[in-house]
This record gives sequence, C-alpha cells and structure tokens, in this order.
Amino acid sequence: MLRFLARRLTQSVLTVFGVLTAAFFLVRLAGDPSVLLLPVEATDKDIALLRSELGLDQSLPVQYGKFLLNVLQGDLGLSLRQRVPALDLVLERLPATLELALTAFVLGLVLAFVVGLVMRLTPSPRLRAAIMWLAFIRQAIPVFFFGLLMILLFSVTLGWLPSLGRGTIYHLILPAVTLATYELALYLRLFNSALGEQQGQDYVRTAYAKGQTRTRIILRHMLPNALLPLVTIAGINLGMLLGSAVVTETVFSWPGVGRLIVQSVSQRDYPVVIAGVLMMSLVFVLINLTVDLLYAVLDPRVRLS
Amino acid sequence: MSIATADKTAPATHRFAWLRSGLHIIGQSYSMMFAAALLAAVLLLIVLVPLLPGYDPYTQNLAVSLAAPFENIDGRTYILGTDTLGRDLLSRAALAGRVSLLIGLSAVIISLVVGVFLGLVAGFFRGFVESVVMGLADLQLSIPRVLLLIAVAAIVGPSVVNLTVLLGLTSWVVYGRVARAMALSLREREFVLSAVTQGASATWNIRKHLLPNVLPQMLIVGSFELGQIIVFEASLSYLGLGIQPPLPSWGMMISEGQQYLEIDPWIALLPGIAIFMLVTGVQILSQAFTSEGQFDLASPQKGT
Amino acid sequence: MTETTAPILSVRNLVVEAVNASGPVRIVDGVSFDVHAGEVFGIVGESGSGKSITMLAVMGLLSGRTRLAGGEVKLRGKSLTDMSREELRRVRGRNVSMIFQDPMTSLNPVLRIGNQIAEILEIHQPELSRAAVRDRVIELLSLVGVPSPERRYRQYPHEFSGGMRQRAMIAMAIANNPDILIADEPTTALDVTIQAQVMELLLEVRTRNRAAMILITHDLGLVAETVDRVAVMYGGRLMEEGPVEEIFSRPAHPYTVGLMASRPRLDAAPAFLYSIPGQPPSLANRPSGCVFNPRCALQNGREICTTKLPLLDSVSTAHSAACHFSREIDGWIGEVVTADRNSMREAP
Repeated sequence: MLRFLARRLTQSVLTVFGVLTAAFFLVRLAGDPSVLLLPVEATDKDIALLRSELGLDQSLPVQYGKFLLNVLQGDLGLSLRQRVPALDLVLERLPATLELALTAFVLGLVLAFVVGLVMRLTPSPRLRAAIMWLAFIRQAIPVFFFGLLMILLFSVTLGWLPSLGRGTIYHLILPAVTLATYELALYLRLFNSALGEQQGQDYVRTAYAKGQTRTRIILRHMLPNALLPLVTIAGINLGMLLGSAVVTETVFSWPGVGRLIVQSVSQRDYPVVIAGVLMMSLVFVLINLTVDLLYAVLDPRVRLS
Repeated sequence: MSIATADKTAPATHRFAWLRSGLHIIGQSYSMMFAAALLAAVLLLIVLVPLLPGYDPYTQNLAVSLAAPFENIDGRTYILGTDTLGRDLLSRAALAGRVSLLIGLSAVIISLVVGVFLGLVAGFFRGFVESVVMGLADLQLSIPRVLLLIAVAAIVGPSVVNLTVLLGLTSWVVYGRVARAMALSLREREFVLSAVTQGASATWNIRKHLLPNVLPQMLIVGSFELGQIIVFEASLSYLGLGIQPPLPSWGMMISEGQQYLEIDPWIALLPGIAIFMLVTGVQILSQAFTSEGQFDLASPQKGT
Repeated sequence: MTETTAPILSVRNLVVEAVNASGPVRIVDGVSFDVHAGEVFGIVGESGSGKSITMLAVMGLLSGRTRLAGGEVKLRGKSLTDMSREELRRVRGRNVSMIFQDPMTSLNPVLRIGNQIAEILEIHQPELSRAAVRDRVIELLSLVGVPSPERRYRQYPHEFSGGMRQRAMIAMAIANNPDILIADEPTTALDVTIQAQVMELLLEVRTRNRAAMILITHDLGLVAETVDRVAVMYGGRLMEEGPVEEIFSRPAHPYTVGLMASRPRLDAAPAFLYSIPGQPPSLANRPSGCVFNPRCALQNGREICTTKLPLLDSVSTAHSAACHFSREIDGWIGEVVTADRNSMREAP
C-alpha cells in the first residue's frame, strides 16, 4: 500500500512539473510581455528597463529556474488587468469550480450506479434499450448545447430553476446535471459489462448455493466488485469533466475558474490564464490521486498488499 | 476504446476488407441507416444552400431581425428565420457547417499525420525515442484538452488556421498510441524482419511495411475523431475563442442565440441541432468500421 | 444397513442439456441414484464426465447454456424439480449445501470471511440476532479449525491460505445443519500436504452433524478410504453403482476395471501405469449404443455394444452395472492384466 502510494505521488509530482514546464514555454511563445505591459509610445530604454526588471534579459534556463522557484512560492505573476496576484484571483474562484465539478462527479457516479442497477434488475429489455439510447443521445449533444436546452426547458419554459449564477442549491442543479449526465452512457456500458462479468464468477455461484436471492446477490456480492472499473474510468475521465466544467461555467455564468480563464483570454490577461490552467491541472492531478486511493479502499486486495 | 483493440495484424492483402464489411453493416442496421440519413441531410444543407441565389450569410436587414422559422416577410420566406441583424439563419448555418467540416477534416489529417509518424517512429525504434513520445502523450493527457486548447488559443490568437493547427496538434495522442502498439507487433513479423536482415533502411521499412498496415485502422480512428473535433471547435467558438466574426460558426451562433432564448429560441436551437445531427451521424457510422463491426452505443470519450 | 430406510436424496433419470450453436447436447443423460441418511456417496469419473453438472442440477444451480431437460430430484420425498425458484432457494444452503472445488474463487474477494459465513445464517434463520449470528460464526470457525476465529472473522479471503479458505467454505456449508453436503472435489485445488487434513475435517463435521454427503472426486484412493457407496460416471451416464468394497473387489463394468488399473499402486508394478486407450467421448457426437464402446476392450467387435444402450442392471443386491457383458468381467480381468502388458506405458 505504501509503495503504491509512493509511486502514485511521484507520478503526480512529475505531471505537475511537466505542466509547469509546458506553461513556461507557452508563455514564452506568447511573445514579449513587456510589449503588452508598456504603452505604445514607450522608448527602447523603457523596454530594456522593464525587461531587466522582469528578468527577460537573462538566459532561458535561468528564467525557467526562476519561474519554477516563483511557482513554488505561490507567485504566478500579477494580473495585467487588475494588478493583483493572478493566483489570488484564481483561488477566489476555486471553491465555485470545485463545488460544481465534485457535485457533477459524484452525481454522475450515483446516476450511473442507480440507472445501471435498474438496467440490470429490470426484466424489460425495452426499458434497458430505451435507457441506453437516451444516454447515447445525451452524449452526442455537446455540453454547452445541452446546458442551453436545460435552461430553455427548466428556466425559460417551466420557470422552475434559475439559469444563471451561483448561490442557492437550485443554482447548482442545472449545471451539475448538465455536467454529470455527459459521460453517463460510457459509465453505464462499463458498469453493465462489469456486472455481466461478475455474473459468471464462482463466488456468485456460491452465493446462489447459499440460497441468497438474485437481487441481494447483485446488490451485496456483485456490486462491490463491479464498482472498481466504474471508479477507475470515472477517474480517468475527470480531465474530460474538468474541461467540460469550463464550458459549463460559461453557459450558466457560474463564477468559477473556468469562466475566469475564458474572460481573461478575451482580456488578454495571460498570467491569469496560465494560473487558472495550472490550478485546474493541479486539481485534476489531486482528484486523480484521490480516486486511486478510493480504489484502494474499495478493493481490499489493493489496500492490504 | 474499441477501436484501439481492433485487429492489429490484419494482413495487407485484405486492407480494404473493413470498408466492404462496414458498408455491409450500414445496410443491415436501422440505426446505421438513420445515422446515414442524418449525415446526408446535414451535408446537403452545407453543400447546396450557399449555391442558391439570394441566400447570402452576411446580408444584414434589420427590418427582418429575429424572424421565426418559416416566417414570411415582404414576400420572402426565411426557412430557419433570421438573427438579430436580420441575417438569414439557414445561409449562416450552412456556411458555418462548411467551416466546421473543413476545420474538422483538416485537423483530423494533421493529427493523423503527426500521430502516425510519432507512433510509428516510437514503436519502430523503441528506446529513447519511444520514452520521449510516450512521455509527451502522457503529459498532454494530464491537462484537460479543453483547457490546453483555451490556453494555447489565448496565446497564439484565434484564427481559422491557428484553430485548425491547434486542434490537429492536440489530438494526435490517440493515433500515436494505436500506431505505436501496431508498430510494436508488426516489427516482430516476418516480412519486416526479413527486410531488416536484407539491409532495408528504417525509412523504407516504416514507409513500405508499417504504414500500409497501420493506415486503414488510423482512418477508422480518424472518422471517429472527426465528430469529437467538430464538437471541440464548436465549444471553443461558443466560448469566443474559436472562429471569429464575421465568419459564422455553429458554436458562436448558439452563444448569440442564448441571449435571445426567451424571445426566439430557434436561433440557438437550430445550429445545435445541426451539430447534433452531424456528430451523431459521423460517430454512429464510424462504428460500422470498427473491428467488432457493431453499433457500439456508448462511444468512448468525446469532446465537450 | 441403510437400504431399508427411505433415501434422503433420490435422483431419477436426470437429463441435462447444454445449448450449443448446433443445438442442444446431452451432457448428463439419464442419471439415477439414491443417497441415504448418514452415508457418504461417492461419484467418480474423469473430468467432463458430467459429475459436477449433475450436482449443480440437483441444487438447481444450472446456469448459462445448460438446462435441466428431464428427470426428477427428490429431497426427503419432496420434489426439488417441481419447486418454484423461491421454494428451491429456501432449500439451498439450509437442507442441501455445497462445497466447491476452488476456494480461491468461490469466496467473494471484497467481503469479510465472517460476513460471508454469517450471510447463510441470515438468509435461513432471520430470527437470529446479530450477536447470535456472530457467536455462531465464530463457533463454526473454531469448529472447522480456523485459529483465532475472532480475528479471522474480520479478514478478507486473500488473507486466508487455500486450506483455510476451504475450511471457511466448510463452516459455511454446515452452518444450518443441512441434510446433505455436496462436496465437489473439495481438496483438489489444495496443497497435497493439507488435502488430508481438510478431508478429515470434512468427514468429521459431517459425522458430527449426521449429514449425508455426496463426494465428487476422481481420486479412487479417496473413494476407497471414505465412501460407503460409489457411482462411476462416464460420458454423462452412470456406468456402475454399488457398495465401495464390492466395486473395488468385483468391478462389473470394463470402464471401472480400466479406471482401477490406471491408478498408481504401491503394491504392484510401480514402474507401469495402465491407461485406457482412446479419448473420452465427444458429447456432441456420442457413439451409438454404449458410450464406452470405442474404448472398450471387452466389446471384441460384438454388435450389440454399438447398437443397444445398456441400462443399469443389478449384478448383486446392491450393486448394478450398465454393461451388456458384465457377467464376463470376472474371467476377463485376468486376461486384461496379462494381455495389456504390451499396451501399458511407462509411468512418468
């Protein structure tokens, strides 16, 4: 267990390091920030002064080293617009994003779980096919368009739920459902095939031989075993979920990191964009790590080895 | 992913067998025919409408702004209605479709070329090259793709060309992985081994032996990826980071339409339906060519 | 003698079919036997002879592509084959319980051992309190020789050795004091060194619970030591059935003779091992007449063996065999031993 943990931690650190490196070169690719920071009428002397101030006159490796050092100290530069540390802006928005993403993540798993069980337990093949088709159609609709459909139905037409902003739990419903249902078809298929695989296992036969009922065999015996692949895939697809969260935030005007990033892009506020992307990647890595640990909790064979 | 597990060692002689079996499967299944019909409808719209006289996507006419579908104003029927500036939505949707499809196809080609090249080189040479390529792939997967696209688009600035290249360069990982896996198995096969022992160069081997075997599989992956790329492009355009006005795009049209959701929901609905039809059609049809040859309901991960 | 009492389990003309692409195939064909109170009944045969499937059919556990196609199973005079699913479920684990071959896979990997044993009590004795169930499980664990049962209760299957897992399976099987224990090759998957211990334990708990037992095995040595009566299966059919001493001293079917001759013996010719010529029959394409005829040395070209199916026929009061020529066996055994010297192969 400790070795497993150590290996996963090393991987995570390496990933974060890779993302940082990529971010550094991306920013350099963006061109000379001094040009952006200074007014058009600035003289060459002004530019040279600012360049040395920003350390841009030093060699690339030195700049890279300084960048890493700064990041380690939590310094991701100032917002070009608001003149406050970019990281502060991002951290301010982070709770909203986490609220949405984690709600959607859990909701997605619970939905897959409940609907998957209904599919397994129902005797009606038509119901099963109908569920699968609905999930498939849902998946074929881009997140932003599905969000719009939800707004159209539940806010505009029915007037049941608020469509924009964050605040009450009702504000959370539409964006979370939009995000949670996206991977449902994939989860359902996985869950279903995982349950199907368990069906032929010896321990299931043992459970039948004990006189256990079918329903309880599915719930008590097969389910815990079938959950493992579901959790794994959900973890792998977290990147997808976080990416979709950026779009969802914009659709529902959800004041999260994703919306901040999108707004900052249109304002050409690169430090905030980079800080936001770094933060989201960090969140992604951390949640992935958590999912791995969750996996270990679910499977005693991993937990105790 | 079902595509990745497809037969990696199909002999070169039956290279196009998948095409025949795929067409056969389409003819046999209702869902496939349905998908083909969806796709055909969108393609007809995209190809034909801009050819019609009087259907110009840029002409503004505030007198007819926000016309409902089939609304007849001054003797002219706006089949899909108009937007706020009175531009004909049917023409705009058609042009946007052309742009989407063009970007999608070009991006698929770019990512396919890059992915196949890197994958084959990694799988053929192994060692250091392989570690670098696969490390790059892992790194890219560790950043959510939409975020990566946003970050890079923000920095290089949005334009059709940038967008295409960007979408292409961030989508190579699937091809790279599959191509590498296939190269790994192919390089141990007799015909490659014998070529190597006869002194054939690496370039020769990759071009003459690996590429022809890998390509059909890659085209299948590509047909599936096309749908995803179109969705990515639409998402970016929706966020205002993709195609820029005055060029129309489905994503942007939806974003504009969202403001008029209460007055005229059709502005946002129609382009959305067009995306849905195109993407669903492409993705269901691409399933016909996978090795299992069956309609796989829950397709693997897709864009946003 | 047990013959006078009514049998606890009675199986009549059991037919099980497996559904293949090419249609149904009979994998158990007209099997009948009785098991009496307190006795150990053995079923021997090569793998694929249908012995495990027969037992799964008795338990109503056929699944997937196999189905019961005919026959009747009665437990204490009540027909299991006529029961509803629900009634049959109530019988399983209470009146009849089963121990499977592979204890590695027969236990659920993500549930604690204690809970898995407790489950069988909870199903059939819902009136028991939690504490009572727990006490009983710990009692059962110590009964089957699992050391420090309180601690073991909380462990998962992968923390148990193979032998310990099989002990846990035995604890599970005897939890509700069933009338019959069915043990399907209970020691085959275990280390040789602990096979004897586990078998001894199984016999001991059986005796203590006064349960009848059906022991499925291919180990003739085990049969000779532990079983009261034995049935020999081949190609989905019963070849011979009777008291174990009689089958061993006076086998009445050429297949049984071959089976006996092919077991390694300590008392004679250790360098040679007899093997029955030919391959077990393909069930999809079974030979006409007697299933064993293509491999039978006694047949000698006689036509009846390939045209007429031999039925079980009594050889003595409690002993019957399904061979047209079982009366000739006595004289033939001596022959086979000498004549087959040439066809004997060297033991590995």
